[in-house]
Amino acid sequence: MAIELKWIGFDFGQCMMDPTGLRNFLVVGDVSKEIGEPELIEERIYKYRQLKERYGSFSAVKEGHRDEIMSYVFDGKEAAREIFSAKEQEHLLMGNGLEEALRYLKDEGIHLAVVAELKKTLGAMGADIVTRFLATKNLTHYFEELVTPQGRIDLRDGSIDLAYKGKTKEEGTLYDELVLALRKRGIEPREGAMVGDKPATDIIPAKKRGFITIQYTGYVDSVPHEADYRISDFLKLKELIRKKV
Amino acid sequence: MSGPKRIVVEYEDGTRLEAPFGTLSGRVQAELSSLGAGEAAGTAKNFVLLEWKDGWKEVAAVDGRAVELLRFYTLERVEEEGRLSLEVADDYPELLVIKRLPRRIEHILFVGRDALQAYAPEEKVTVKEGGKVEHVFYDKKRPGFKMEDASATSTRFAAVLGSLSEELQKKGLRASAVAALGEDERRRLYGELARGLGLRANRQQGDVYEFLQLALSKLDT
Repeated sequence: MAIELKWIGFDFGQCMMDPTGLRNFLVVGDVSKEIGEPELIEERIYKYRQLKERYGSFSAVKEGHRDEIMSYVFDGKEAAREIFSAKEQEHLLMGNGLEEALRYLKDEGIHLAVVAELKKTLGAMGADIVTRFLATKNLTHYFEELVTPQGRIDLRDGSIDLAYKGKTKEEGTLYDELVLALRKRGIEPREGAMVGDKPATDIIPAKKRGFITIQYTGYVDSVPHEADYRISDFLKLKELIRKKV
Repeated sequence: MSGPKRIVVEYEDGTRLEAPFGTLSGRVQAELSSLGAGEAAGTAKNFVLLEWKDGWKEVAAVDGRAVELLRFYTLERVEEEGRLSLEVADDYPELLVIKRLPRRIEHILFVGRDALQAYAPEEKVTVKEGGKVEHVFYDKKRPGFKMEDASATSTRFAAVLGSLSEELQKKGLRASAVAALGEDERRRLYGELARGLGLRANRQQGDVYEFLQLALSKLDT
């Protein structure tokens, strides 16, 4: 039986965005070749892996220590900065069946949002990894908003609402704010769903606040399995969801 | 292809030090290359231009005597690589890449000038991300992983020192006498001791000799 919804929030990293294609020899390798230093590829990949060892994961390095990638891995070469971001985007993939599922959900008239743990301060559209990804993959028009701990950005006009500033998914404070905002629009939490891969940030705190939770396991399959539904392909959302009238 | 073969360093006293060009780090090779050392004047190279479907293009210089393509194929195989990282004081972690059967490592002994730690790697966490699977055998930051206790650690290192001592005895040598040997003789001895102990270098042969030197100093005390 289909679940009836008015609003769906999508997690970004390792969910909508699949980093499988982000291999170091491609990103670090391509950047080094672009700036004319192919001889330094091995050394730079080693340094990039050192950063991963220090900070725990490449996501943590990229989200919180981007300047160090430039200063330590690319020796402060300013030319590498923009190329690195471009190459990163080029090799990022979309989660399985994402675009078709978004098209279906938008056609159904369901309000769609990206709910991401963005660490970088929000700026102009395209200045952060999420809006840049949406633009590069031509997905922006499916979404109405991007909700992050840095604020909410209205993807239709670029305006920024700082009510979400400092609130996080893991603590659940970001979902508290979402509940208030959705209620103002006449949407109750049970009429909304959160789709994400991480139990600690996407599933457990969202479920606690009454949202339907859908765990995406197409990239990472994390335990515990506390979500209401589990999908490994976004196309499953077509079978699972209908618009609530 | 006539790329650089050897690097020669001449000292003021006439001493010459030579090493294969390929043993230099990528950074040094790149710097020398920018000075024109990457190519010999007047050498005729041929080139391969590779063009990808996404528009990416690369050039590779090949032997000037190359005449045509012999073969082009790709290999698809699941390779497993071990990554052993070490906390380094006031610096980035050091990373050791282990290509030889990493999942079959049974013991890891960290031997520092003033520290000794033993680890018995055991897979306790498996993380699957896309097509990649991480099998975690030790992680200081995750619960459930511990280094071995002090007594087990000393036992492991004592076993290494014991074997070294036996090898020395076979040669009728005392640890304290090794330092008095000449450079060549000492290196030859280290080679023999390493063979006797079944010790091979992971990255550079010199590492084995320096390890033996450290072990001998511990044996001496």
